[in-house]
Amino acid sequence: MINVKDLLIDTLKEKEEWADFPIIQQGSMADDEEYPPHFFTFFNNESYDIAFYDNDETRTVWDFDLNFYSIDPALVNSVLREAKPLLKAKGFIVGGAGYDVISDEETHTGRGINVTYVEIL
Amino acid sequence: MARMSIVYEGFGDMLERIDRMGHDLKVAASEALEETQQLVQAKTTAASGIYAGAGRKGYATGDMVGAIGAVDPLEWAGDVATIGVGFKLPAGGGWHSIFIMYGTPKIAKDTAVYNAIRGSATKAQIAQKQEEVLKRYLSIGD
Repeated sequence: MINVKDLLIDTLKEKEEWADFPIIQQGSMADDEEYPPHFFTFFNNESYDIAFYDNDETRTVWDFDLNFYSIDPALVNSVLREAKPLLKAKGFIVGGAGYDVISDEETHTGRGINVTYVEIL
Repeated sequence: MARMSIVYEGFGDMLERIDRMGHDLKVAASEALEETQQLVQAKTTAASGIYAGAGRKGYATGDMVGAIGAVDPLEWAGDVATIGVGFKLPAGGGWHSIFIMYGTPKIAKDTAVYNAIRGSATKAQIAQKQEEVLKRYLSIGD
């Protein structure tokens, strides 16, 4: 059994240029906490079983939002697109090229993608 | 509005049978999509806590209520149909739905609203609804 959330985080950390970018849960920052210059957020929307054998689940789907926020608009536009093949190489399913997400701070913009993983039990 | 495509297996056979029975496929598909829209919009409305006594934070007030009701109607372009579900983004309160559905680093998303539109249970209910509508056409003229 693997920890899919850890797999997601570890895959992002493997890229040297992103090694110092914090990776935190969406919604976990305090109101008065300062945004880092560049960072990822994630949220596990749900997990659900899609296959069963002998009354036991054999495949579980994990559904995540993965977002990237930055003071650099060029990075906002490129990082998740660069993350896509890295995640796919680790077995994640990543559809599309992402969507804009809202930032609490005027200094940052952000984009998000939906990432799923089918865990074979 | 939410942009998503859902591919279900098995509908191809049903559509072929409906076509062989002489029914208009576009009429059948249109009905399936419109009932799907009603299903998703009802779930979105309920999850947004519009009604008094819902016991939840009332996100959907004013413009956001309007954004639920303003979604695009069914439209055919050749053999491809599209229909709006969720929140109409250009509508006044529609953009607020992005806060609610995706959150921010400092605001957690509302999973009830998100799942009403994009959750696996909703996708399963959509499949069930569409199968139900298509089966109606299979039973006409039997």
